[in-house]
Amino acid sequence: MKIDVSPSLQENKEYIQNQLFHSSDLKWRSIQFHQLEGLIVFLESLSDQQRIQKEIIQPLEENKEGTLDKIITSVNITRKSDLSQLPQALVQGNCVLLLEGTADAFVVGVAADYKRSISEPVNEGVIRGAHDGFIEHLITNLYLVRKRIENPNLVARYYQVGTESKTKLALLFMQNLANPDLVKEVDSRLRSIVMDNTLSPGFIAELIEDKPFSIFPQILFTERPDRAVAHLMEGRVVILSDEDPSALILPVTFFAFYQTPDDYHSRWIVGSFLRLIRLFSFITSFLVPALYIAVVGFHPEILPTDLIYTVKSSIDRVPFPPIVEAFLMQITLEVLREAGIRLPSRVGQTIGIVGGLVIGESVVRAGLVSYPMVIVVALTAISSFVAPSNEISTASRILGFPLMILAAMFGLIGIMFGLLFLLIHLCKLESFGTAYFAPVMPLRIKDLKDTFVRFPIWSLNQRPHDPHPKSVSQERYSRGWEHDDPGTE
Amino acid sequence: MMIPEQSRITQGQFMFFVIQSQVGVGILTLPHKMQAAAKGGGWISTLIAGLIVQVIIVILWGLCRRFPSDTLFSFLPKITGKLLGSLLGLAYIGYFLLSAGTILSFFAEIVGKWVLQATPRWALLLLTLLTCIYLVKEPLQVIARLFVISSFTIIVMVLLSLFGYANANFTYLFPITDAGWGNIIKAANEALFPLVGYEVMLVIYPFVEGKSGGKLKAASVGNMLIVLFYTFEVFTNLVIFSPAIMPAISEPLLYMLKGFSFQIIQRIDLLFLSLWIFIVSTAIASWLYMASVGLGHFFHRGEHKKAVFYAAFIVFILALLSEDPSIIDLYDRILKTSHYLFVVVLPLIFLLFSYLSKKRSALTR
Repeated sequence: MKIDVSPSLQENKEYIQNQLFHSSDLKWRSIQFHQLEGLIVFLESLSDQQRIQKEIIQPLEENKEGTLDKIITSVNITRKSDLSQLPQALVQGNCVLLLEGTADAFVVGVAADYKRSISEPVNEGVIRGAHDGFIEHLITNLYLVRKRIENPNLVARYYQVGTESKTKLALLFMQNLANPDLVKEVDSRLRSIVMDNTLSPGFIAELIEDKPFSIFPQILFTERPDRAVAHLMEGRVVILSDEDPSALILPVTFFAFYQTPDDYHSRWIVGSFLRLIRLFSFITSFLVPALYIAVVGFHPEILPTDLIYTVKSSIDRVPFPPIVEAFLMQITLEVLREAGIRLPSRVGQTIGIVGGLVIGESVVRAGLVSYPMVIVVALTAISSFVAPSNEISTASRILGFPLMILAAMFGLIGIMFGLLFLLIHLCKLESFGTAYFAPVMPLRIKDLKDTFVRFPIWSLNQRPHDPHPKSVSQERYSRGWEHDDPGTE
Repeated sequence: MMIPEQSRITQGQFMFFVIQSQVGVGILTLPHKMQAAAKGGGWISTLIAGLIVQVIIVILWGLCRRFPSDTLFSFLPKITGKLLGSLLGLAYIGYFLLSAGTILSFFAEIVGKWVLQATPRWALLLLTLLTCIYLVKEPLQVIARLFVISSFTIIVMVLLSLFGYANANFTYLFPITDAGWGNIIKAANEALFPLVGYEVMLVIYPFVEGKSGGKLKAASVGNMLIVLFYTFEVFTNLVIFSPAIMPAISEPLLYMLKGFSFQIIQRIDLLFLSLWIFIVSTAIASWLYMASVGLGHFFHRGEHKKAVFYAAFIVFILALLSEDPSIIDLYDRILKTSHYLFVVVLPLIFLLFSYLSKKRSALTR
């Protein structure tokens, strides 16, 4: 409902005060402009008072000729004739200028920026490469991305979600690469969000992802601008949100969760090796306990004879079946991990001692758990922590539980059916029209160059096909100096 | 008929679909049967069987080609009239279900014999079928994706079998025509049954992209690869086991793998069996898919998803009943007859019929 700005200063002041319920941080200052009485209104918690002084009060005091918008030096100044819009402008950190007898109010952008400095994200460290990370400030994050792609094709679209919290989001994409259908789909899903309060990017991810019941994360979270940029250049879209350092990247495939910028900063053989190690540890992170249970419980003859004796002698002292042992240890591990996050780092060492020594050693001495099981669980934990993304790491450990049950019931056969089930699930998953397990399912041999291994950069002539980019070719003859005539193959 | 995007598959996927439908339980027992019937010439019989299958594939293709946008169930009424067509369609569904049930039952028997001696049979059947249901209720594209990827297990199986050549004795093969050409050809007849599964063409043909020539090529290449794989396995077993031992072992492939071991893994046969689970499950899924497409066509306006659950239940009952060897024998005999009927004789008749009726309609027009 529109309410006209009243010519009377007092009435305007009362209206604003009532709308903000006489909040204590609402401040006023009287001014004089060309013999007119005026008022500057702002929230001291959100506005930068030095800027108000410099950009509004000083120019006014100089009393130059001209209208207000000419005199005030601030970049961002708008006229508003609707009084009801002013409270919203105030809570966004603007300052409102009212003049006696004038039907317009001036809204001047003088929001204060309190933000931490750009630093490397703690949970996504790299050995080589850029060490900056996103922070809790949308504009800075946009800056970090734009600085890396100085190209007019990079588009940012702002959104406001949350009817009460009014969280600001920015959707970023490359106009010349991202598939327009994808952008349209993301746009419509973001617009359709109806919620009081969208606190974090996690909310957004949960609201727009395709299969909310799947255990696999379908949207990649990252705090690294270089990672976001790399995905933008493959034709994906990135969603940044204000007040949170995580960027959402979509659509992604399963393999994106196992890639890090490090792969591209080291030599390609090293990068490929590390990537293979990571994917291998994905498999071990859920398969090892199940395999152990199956082998010990059903098919000990699969192991070499000497090993059977060692394992058996250790197991015979334990009163529980392997499945109980495994569950006990796995859950202990999860508890330890969770405790490790909550505790401050100074106390963290205690956890290491309690977890490593007391539980690891004593539990075996007490005959509650066998030695091989401790090894198995430790292996599982370590391999799950290899994953560069926290979401997939947790998911892979949770996957282990149903497989353990299957292994305890059906041995190796159960595990195979579990894996088949998993594979079917991965076949089914699609996010934003992209197959989740691409390029393996559906198979696309060309894209395998940068999936399990990383081929040399100069051989990756095509972008990955999974986000259906507008243009597939990304380079040709990157080592041009080797060719005398780059026109022929 | 409009084919929705999600149901369309490429010709490559079609090839793997044929492969996965064909490889089933037969592979384990085939060498034993071949040796019994054709001695050292067993591998030739397998090749001959492959050629026969190729001819059948051409016949089926010729039939499908006449109805490029119809599945088996929707073109049958067009050839034979509505009532007879629907009845025949139901008969085909029965054939598909029985095939799935028989494969499942053989599978449970072998797993029970080799790996899980103490596990109740119904639990194993249930586990297999639940996995299949989870797959089959999806659109064709998803099924095809899985079939492509699980075909790689065949390569691993071939690699594992290669170890056998460490103690191969090629003299076991000779004289190749020991059993006589008559027996070799008779054995080829026997080898037809492990190769069944190409019938899937009848159902998924309209969903494949591209021209009919390409589709024939895809199906033929798929069949050829499988025949080569089977021939390779039969040949391997023939050169490893002496003719005297062979009659005593019903699953020579597994015995062979049981014989050798790596440093860490002592039982290669278990590894092989685990991979084989992928192959068998996909074969069962394929039959189940064919049946539920049919049931969906008749009872759910083309939505095969709704039919999957009770189709699987029927398969479960069929497999459960067949614990008795006499019943599985009965299934086997029914299947052999119906195979000739449903895959060779009827399609040939339909093909002739559709040619004639087309001519007639061309004349009247």
